[in-house]
Amino acid sequence: MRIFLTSSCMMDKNTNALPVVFSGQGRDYFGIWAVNLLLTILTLGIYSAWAKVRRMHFFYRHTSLAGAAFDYHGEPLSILKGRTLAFLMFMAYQISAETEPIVAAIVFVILMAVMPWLLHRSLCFRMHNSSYRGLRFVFRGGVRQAYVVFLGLPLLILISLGLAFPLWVHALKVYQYGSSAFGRSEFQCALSRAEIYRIYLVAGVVAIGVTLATTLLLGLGVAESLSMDEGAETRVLTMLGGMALLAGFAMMLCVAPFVAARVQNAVWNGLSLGPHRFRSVVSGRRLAFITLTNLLGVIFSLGLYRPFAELRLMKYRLQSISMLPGGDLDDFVALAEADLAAIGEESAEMFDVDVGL
Amino acid sequence: MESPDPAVSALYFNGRSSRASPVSLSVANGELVLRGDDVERRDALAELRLSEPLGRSPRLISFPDGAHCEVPDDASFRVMLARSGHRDAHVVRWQFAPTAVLASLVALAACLVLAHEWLLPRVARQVAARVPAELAKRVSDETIAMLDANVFGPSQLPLARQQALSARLVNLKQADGPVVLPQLLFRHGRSMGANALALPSGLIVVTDELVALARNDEEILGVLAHEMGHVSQRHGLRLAIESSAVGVFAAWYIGDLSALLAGVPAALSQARYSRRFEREADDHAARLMTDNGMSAGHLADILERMEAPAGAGQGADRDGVASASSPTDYFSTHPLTDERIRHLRAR
Repeated sequence: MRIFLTSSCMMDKNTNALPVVFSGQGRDYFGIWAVNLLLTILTLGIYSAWAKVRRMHFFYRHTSLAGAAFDYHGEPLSILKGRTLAFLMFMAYQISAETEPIVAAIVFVILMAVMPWLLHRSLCFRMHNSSYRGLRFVFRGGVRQAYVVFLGLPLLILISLGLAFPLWVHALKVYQYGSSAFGRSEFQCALSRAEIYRIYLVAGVVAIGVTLATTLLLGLGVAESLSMDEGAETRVLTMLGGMALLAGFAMMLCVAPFVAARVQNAVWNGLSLGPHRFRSVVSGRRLAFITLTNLLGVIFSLGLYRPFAELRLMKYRLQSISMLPGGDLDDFVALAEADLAAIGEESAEMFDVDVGL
Repeated sequence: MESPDPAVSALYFNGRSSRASPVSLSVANGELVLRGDDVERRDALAELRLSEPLGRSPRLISFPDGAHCEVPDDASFRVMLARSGHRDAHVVRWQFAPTAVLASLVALAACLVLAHEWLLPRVARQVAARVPAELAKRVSDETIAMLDANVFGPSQLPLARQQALSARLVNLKQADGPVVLPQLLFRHGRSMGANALALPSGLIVVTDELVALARNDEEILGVLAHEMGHVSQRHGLRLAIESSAVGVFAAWYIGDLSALLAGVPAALSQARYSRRFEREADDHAARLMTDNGMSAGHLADILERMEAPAGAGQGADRDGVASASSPTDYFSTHPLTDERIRHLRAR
């Protein structure tokens, strides 16, 4: 596991790095979470669009860089529109699944064909509604590229039996970050495929090791419990469940945080905006520690710790990022109205579809 | 004469470049007055997007022309706005009022209980009714294969006795509800002792120990009728659906979907019927017994003997007919069985 940690301790103190600062407090977020969750349940989910806007505001406005905060401009009605659409698509599939298989297959193909377009709209929505210092972010990625990233490459993953997965992660990150712009300045994402492949290769080796270890433990456990006659069957089941749980936890702690940390670092360390560069120093070990303690916190607080857990993880990941300015931050310029129209940024036709990208 | 508010300092961005200019803000006659070295503007408050107050975050103001203003000291700005008659939305006030947050938590807990106690059983019943027969059969076959490999031994009961009991079971008149075509299997119970269990496809397993424990065939039929109740009400599937729904919810909430790996199969194979399922199956058995000219008391008789301490030779250890009472159980079900026996006798 040491191999994951090499890049995390090379912070040089003599640059004028501008750290991202997150000032949100758990006790403030707790109230927002509780009230908005209740209203969402009481309105059968409709209020969730408003809840999302409040949540986004909380995270954006508590995030600042060089003394200025980020702002979120998404409108609840646009989010509601997107969620309604997603719900209708889901229902269409559910209903068609109960009829002829051929109908279900056709509906499925149509949904798959529409999905990349929706995800593209969603990326546009999110960037367009984010601002900093009064300037909007813009997503300039093309629709055709969205079809490659969200349909073509996932199919390739299936065909290659998962070997193309890092390729997809690479394409997704480059599409997401490299197609973004802040005002008139475009982000450049210099992320190497080899690096992403290296991250997943190490993760794959660790995952196989973890699986072997738990299977071995499982075998020993079963052998032992079968040798005892009394109540053997309950013990076998408990053992099976316990081992599967252990394997899940092991993956969650030994693999996922390290992959997340290394991918975030790779993406941000290769990102530039004009003369400005970025640095991300997330540590996989620290991320694993946060994941574990968050899990324990949520369980032992009967769920009440959850908003604090979410905040804590977000704070760590955000504050690991800093900007290495290559010039004056006052020099960014907004896109002209004509440019906005040219890339289809009219906000009227925008809606958000939730995706965990 | 109204004393003017002390001006609040802020950063102003014109929306065309990212250059920050320090300004001071004040409110007069429903207008926001903004003054800086190279900018001065007055805008009606109603035309501005004033972001909601939010914890320690700066207050953000968006102007209709795309300009943007950031107020780091929200506390003073809040006072200034309040004096001009500005009111925050109800939700905003609730979010930061301890009583409202506490009330929300209580209401959320109530929603959770309601969903678990009322909504989930109803949804599970609907879903269980839609589970295709092939799926029920596959789950049942896998479960019996697993039990055969790990728990049961082959039955030592003479074939003629097995066939006689099967015949009596198949000939039972089923008056109401979906007709169950039971298929009887005999096994040596080993650690499971005197017991019977039902699988979703209609497979009913009886242990040799149970047959030995019964004083007459009516008692065995009572137990089988109880198991048919489980089958006809689809208790096994409902339980599996309910517990996996709880598992999915918990995994989603905690944020770790891998916990699912453990929850779902365990729920499927444990077949631990809950109290209300036992009660429903007892009612089904009592009706079936009465319809076929037998007394429901027979089931009560054998239940009582299965519950008796192991001195009689065979203490019922697992759920099935008698509810679970092994030491691994986290709540004792003895009072429950007593109550079930009383209930059966009263019919």
